[in-house]
Amino acid sequence: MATLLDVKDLRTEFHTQDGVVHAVNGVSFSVDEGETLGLVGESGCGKSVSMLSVMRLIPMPPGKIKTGQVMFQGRDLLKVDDEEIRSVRGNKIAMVFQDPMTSLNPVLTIGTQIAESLELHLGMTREQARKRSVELLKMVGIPEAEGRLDDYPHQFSGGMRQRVMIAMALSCSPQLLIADEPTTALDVTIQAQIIDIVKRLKRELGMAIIWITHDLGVIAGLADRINVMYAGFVIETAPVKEIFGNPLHPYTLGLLGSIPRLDEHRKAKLTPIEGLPPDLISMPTGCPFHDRCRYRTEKCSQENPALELGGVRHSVACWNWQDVQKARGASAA
Amino acid sequence: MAAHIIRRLIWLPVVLFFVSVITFALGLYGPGNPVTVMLGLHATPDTIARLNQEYGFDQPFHVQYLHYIGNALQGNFGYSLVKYRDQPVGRLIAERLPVTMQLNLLALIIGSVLGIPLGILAGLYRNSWFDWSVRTLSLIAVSIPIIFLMPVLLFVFSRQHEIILSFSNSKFTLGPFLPMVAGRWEGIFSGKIVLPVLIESLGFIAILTRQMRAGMIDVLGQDYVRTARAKGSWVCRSAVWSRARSWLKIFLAFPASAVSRSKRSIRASTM
Repeated sequence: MATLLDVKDLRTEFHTQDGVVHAVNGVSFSVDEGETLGLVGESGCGKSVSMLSVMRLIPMPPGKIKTGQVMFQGRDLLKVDDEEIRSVRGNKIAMVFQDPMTSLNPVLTIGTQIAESLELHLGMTREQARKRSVELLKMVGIPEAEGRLDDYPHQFSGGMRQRVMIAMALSCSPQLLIADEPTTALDVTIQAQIIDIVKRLKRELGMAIIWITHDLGVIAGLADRINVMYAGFVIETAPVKEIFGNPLHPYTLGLLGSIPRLDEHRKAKLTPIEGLPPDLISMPTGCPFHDRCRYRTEKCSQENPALELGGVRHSVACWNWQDVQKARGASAA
Repeated sequence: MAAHIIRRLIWLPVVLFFVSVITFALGLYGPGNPVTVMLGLHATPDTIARLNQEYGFDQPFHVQYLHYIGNALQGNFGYSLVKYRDQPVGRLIAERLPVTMQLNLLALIIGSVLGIPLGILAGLYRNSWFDWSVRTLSLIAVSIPIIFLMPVLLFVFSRQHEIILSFSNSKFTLGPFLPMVAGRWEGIFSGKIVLPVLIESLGFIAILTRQMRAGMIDVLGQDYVRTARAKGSWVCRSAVWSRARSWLKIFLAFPASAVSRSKRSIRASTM
C-alpha cells in the first residue's frame, strides 16, 4: 500500500524556565493509506506532542520543532506556509482530542462548529453545510440530529460531545484521522461505543487513523500496527499481533506485564515496571530506559540504541532484544 | 440571553436597595459632618444641637434612611451645602448630566474603537515589543488621574496657542480646541470637546486594552481554540468570536463604571 504520511527524525522541544524539555527526540515512522497505527506509551512520553507537531499545533513559543520532515502527499508539512497548513488541517488531516468537555467552543452551537470546516475547506454555503452537518451527526449516531444542530455543547453529554468531535473531524472526509486519546475521558461503556463508531466509519470511509492511547486493551482490537514510545523515542514498532505475541523491547514487555490478560494463568500476578521515566530536561546518556531495565548491560548506559529489525516488519531499539526474546521463551516453556 | 437580561433586571432593585443602604450608612457614620460644614468649626454646642434637630440628624438610622429614600424617589435629593449653597442637588445634577453623558459616550466610543483592537493584537502577539509598549502605555494612562492630567494639558495648550507646522510654514491655531470654561457647553461637534474627550477616552482605552488582552490570552489557551486551529481555522477567528460574546456582558456593566467616572469628572469640574 502507498505511504500516506512519512515522518522522519522529528524533534520537538519546549523552552521553559527550568530548562529545555526534550519532548520528542528524533521520531521516524510512516502510515500507509487506510492503515490504523496505534501510538502507545505512558503520560509524557511524547505521543501527543509528536502528533501535534505533525499538525504544527504546538504552541510556539515555548515549543519548537527543531528538526524533522513530515511528508504528506508530496510536500513537507513542516516547510509549507501557514495558509497551506491550514488547508491541510481539518481537510486532509483531522484531529479528535482527549477531552470533549473542553474541546468544543462553549459559546457556539455545534451546528456552527461543524459547519466551520465545511464552509472553510469545501466552500459550502450555510444551507449546504447545515444539510451535511445533519448527515454527519446521524453518521456518528446522534438521535434527532436536525433538532440538535442549534444546541450548545453544554447540552450534550460527554459521549455525545465526543461524537460531535468525530463528526467534525470527519466532515471533510480526511485521508488521515489523528485521535488523541479520544476515549480516555469517557466511561467504559461509552468508550466501547466510540470505538465501534470509529471502526465502522473507518470501514465505510477508508481513512488512515493514528490512535494515541495508553490503554493497550483499547488498541489491541483497533490497530494494524503499533508504535511504542518512551521518553520521546519510538522504541518498538510492529504489527499488532507481534507486539502482543512477541514483544522484543523490555519496556513493551513491562507494559504488557502490568495489565491483566484473559489468556494467562489465573493466579499470575501483575508485574509493574519499577522506577520512573527519565527527566526530559536532563536526559540520561545511553538508552532512556536503562535504569529501569532488567536486561541492562554495560553498553546500555553509554549508547542509545537505534531501531533495528528484529522480525518481519518488526523494529526494536534495544541492544539486548535477543536476550529478551530468549528469556521470554524460557519462562513460557 | 433574553432570560439572562430579565433575571438581571429583576435583581436590579435588590442591588440598588443594598447599595443605597450602604452608601447612606457610609455618609452618616463616615468622617465629615454636614452640620460642621454649615456652621464651621467654632459653632456653639447649642447651635449644633438645634441644627441637628432641625435636619433630623438626631433620629435613628432607619427613620433617616426612609426619609432620605422617600424624598429621593420623589426626585428630591436635598440642597447643596457647599459651592452652590441652597440650590437643589437634583437640579445641579440634571444640569450637568447631559453634558457628562455626551462626553462619556463619545469617550467610550473612541475608547472602544481603539482599545479593543489594541487589546486583541497585544494578546495575539504576546510578549512582543508591541505588547510591551501597549501594556506600559496603558498602565501609565490608568495611573494618572484625570484631575491631574486635565489641568496640566490645559496649562500646556493654553500657553502654546499656535503650532507652526514646519513643512508648510502654516500656523495651526489651538484656540478652538481649548475646552470650554465651565457653563458654556457648545455640543459635541464643537472643537472644544477634543481635549476633554481625549483625556476621558484615555482611561477607557487603557482599561479596555488590558481587559481585552487578558481575555484573549485566556481564550487562546483554551482547548477549543486548539480544536478550531486543528480544523484549519484562523487562530484569531474563534478566539475573537467567543470574546465578543462575553463582551456583551461587560458592556452591560458599563453604566455602573460610567457613573463612578462621571462622579469623578463632576468633582473635577467643580474644583
